Amino acid sequence: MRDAPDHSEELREILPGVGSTIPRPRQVRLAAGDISTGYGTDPNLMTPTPTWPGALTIYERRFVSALSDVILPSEGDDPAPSEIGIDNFFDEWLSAPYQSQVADRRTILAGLDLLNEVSNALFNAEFMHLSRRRKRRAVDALVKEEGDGLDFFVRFRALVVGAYFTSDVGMRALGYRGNVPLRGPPGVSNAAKRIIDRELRKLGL
Amino acid sequence: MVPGRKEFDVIVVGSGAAGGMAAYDLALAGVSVLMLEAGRDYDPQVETPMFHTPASAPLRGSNTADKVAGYFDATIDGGWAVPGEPYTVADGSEPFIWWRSRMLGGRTNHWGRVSLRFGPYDFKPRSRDGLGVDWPITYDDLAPWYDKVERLIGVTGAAHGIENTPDSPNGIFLPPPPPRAHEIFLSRAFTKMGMRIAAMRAAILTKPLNGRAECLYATQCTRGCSSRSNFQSTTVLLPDARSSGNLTIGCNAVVHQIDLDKSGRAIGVSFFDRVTGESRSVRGKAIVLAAGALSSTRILLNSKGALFPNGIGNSYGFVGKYIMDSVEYTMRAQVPALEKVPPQNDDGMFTPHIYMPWWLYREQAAGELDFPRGYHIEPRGGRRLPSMAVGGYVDKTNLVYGRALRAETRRKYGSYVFLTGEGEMIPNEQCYCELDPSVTDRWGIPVLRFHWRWGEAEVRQWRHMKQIFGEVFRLIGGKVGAPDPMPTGGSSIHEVGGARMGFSANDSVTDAFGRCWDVNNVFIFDAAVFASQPDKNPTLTILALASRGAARMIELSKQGGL
Repeated sequence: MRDAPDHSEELREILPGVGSTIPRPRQVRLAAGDISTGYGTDPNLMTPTPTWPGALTIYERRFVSALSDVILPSEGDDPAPSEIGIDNFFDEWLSAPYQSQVADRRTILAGLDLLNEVSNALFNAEFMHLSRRRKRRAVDALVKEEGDGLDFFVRFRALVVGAYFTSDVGMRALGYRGNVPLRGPPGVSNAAKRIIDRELRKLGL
Repeated sequence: MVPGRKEFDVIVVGSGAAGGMAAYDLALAGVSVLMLEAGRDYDPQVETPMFHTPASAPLRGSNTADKVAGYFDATIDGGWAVPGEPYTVADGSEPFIWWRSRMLGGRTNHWGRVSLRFGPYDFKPRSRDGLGVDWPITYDDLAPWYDKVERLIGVTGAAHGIENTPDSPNGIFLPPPPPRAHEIFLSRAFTKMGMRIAAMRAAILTKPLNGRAECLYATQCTRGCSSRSNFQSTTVLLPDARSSGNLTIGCNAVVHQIDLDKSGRAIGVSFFDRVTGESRSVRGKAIVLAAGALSSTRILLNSKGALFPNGIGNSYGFVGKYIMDSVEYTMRAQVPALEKVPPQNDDGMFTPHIYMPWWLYREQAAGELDFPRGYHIEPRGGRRLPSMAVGGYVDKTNLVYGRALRAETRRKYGSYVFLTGEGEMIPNEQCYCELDPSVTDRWGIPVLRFHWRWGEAEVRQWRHMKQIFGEVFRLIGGKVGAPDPMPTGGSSIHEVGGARMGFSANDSVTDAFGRCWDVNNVFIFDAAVFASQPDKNPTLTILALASRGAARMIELSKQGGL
């Protein structure tokens, strides 16, 4: 029975202001001596600075970039993950000292090894040396195997998608139009109201 | 940190809603006030990361053990756990969790800003249906204080004439913003189900007020606000209170007990310096406890003496008893129809722009429901600031990648709606806190041990929420995943009770003004005094009670009674 780490807590949305959507603690008894190895409970919010070193090798950075570009290739004006520094994201994420990220480090690094095994088995070459089409075939083969390959793919994909669409460029590509100061509430366009009306009528409302 | 002054008129323990309001009223009335705050000094005007995007934060701002609500949430040195300041839950108890922050202004810096008055029914619940206890005050007693507080802090809203949902007098409400796309959409379903749609009442400025700027309709109030456009004690109450010259604030001062003289009168408080560990005491003619309901309760329990072997206020055993939480429950649905709405700016003011007050009073009174009290509903959704949760839109049931993945993620973004119920809880004897017999905090002070058990009324109310939310989602074609279980006690961060106000000393801890029966120069102004926990978020009522209590202190002092 596979024992995939449970990341459901992060993928679940926190609704800011709704306390019960903030993930429950693993423990509430923190002794005085519990010192965080992360950024601590009072980090600088205005100018965040890295508090742990990145631990990925250059090879690993290139690997995650290459795989990310297969998972979410560029399209039109929207850049590929490698063009927006996805390797920096992975380096920070997979080097972080928190439990969830430590689990991800194991899963992702093991998964990359597995992907290389699959690439070698299919094409006698490492993943990064494959053509774009062969990269996709390697990913497909990885996913077809139940078990670790599938778990790795699902988790890696969630991280790439999350990281990409929370980048400044990615938020816009996703369709976010906020985070801009306005003189009044934005309101809903008449075009959108017509669409809403039409959809409601289809639902009988 | 704390000047060597001999004695203050009033020591206010805590700097949040109750502490800030009390300090404001007292200082402006010429009273010398020492405010002691357990956390560090904090200034939202320079510390709020207003427009910082996720990419500027470690881990895209994801929640971690250090910042449990996310990197940019304003909570400092706290969350469900505060390092060095544990709490325990009794064996056999249902789970209970407790949110505290350690910062000037307390939880008013990161709270949700929903500001609902209690209604007339809410002060007399026992008279209405025989359950719980009545407050020793009526809505009419508190209404002028709600008026005053709302004029001071600024609250949006509109008058609707809805049962048990009092409208503020003309001229108080700030203009509510128009509904968002998904709120317009949901409203049709709510109306069909017999609910009334009310403009949200939020402590957010939609017009400039008292020298504070209007909201910028962009950022999350839970980060705090550097334009002072929402209510936080730090930006709305403390600055003017300080300007009076009568307020001294000591931060990093963790008060653990009220000090008494031999006659049983309070003479001051003792606290630990959170940074140096030094133990100190300071003198005051009167004490206001405003540390947060359960923290104030703990201080009472730890304030022992010959006259009060079980703690101040506890002569009849009511301290720590009848703690309550909101029944706060959220269901999510993915709504294909909302995928058709083109990208809009859905930010608006931080809170939902609408809410649905409880609408089944008649049915409940007629015995058609199997639970006695109601809940209001807050809808959320739309295209708000993305988080790593976007990575979960396409889950393991769909193994696409490439163009299809991009398209699928974009399609789903903005189509999720969340309905959150905030329900009334009946006080019950199995929900209480006491001092843990063995566990102490880092300074050797006994910590709280919680006992919690939701009553049958709450479980049935939660089931009703599931049913209603499910019906709403069915009407709009929403797809629901597996629903979450009953919420955890304490998880709404609306914990109240522990030192309830009442009609007499033998069934309560304070009188109708928060004055402690046992020690008449000790006042409790935070939600420890709540006799009930209606379906209205507590903060506005805390502010009103604190202001009324402060006025009472001034009146008593003029009469020579303090």
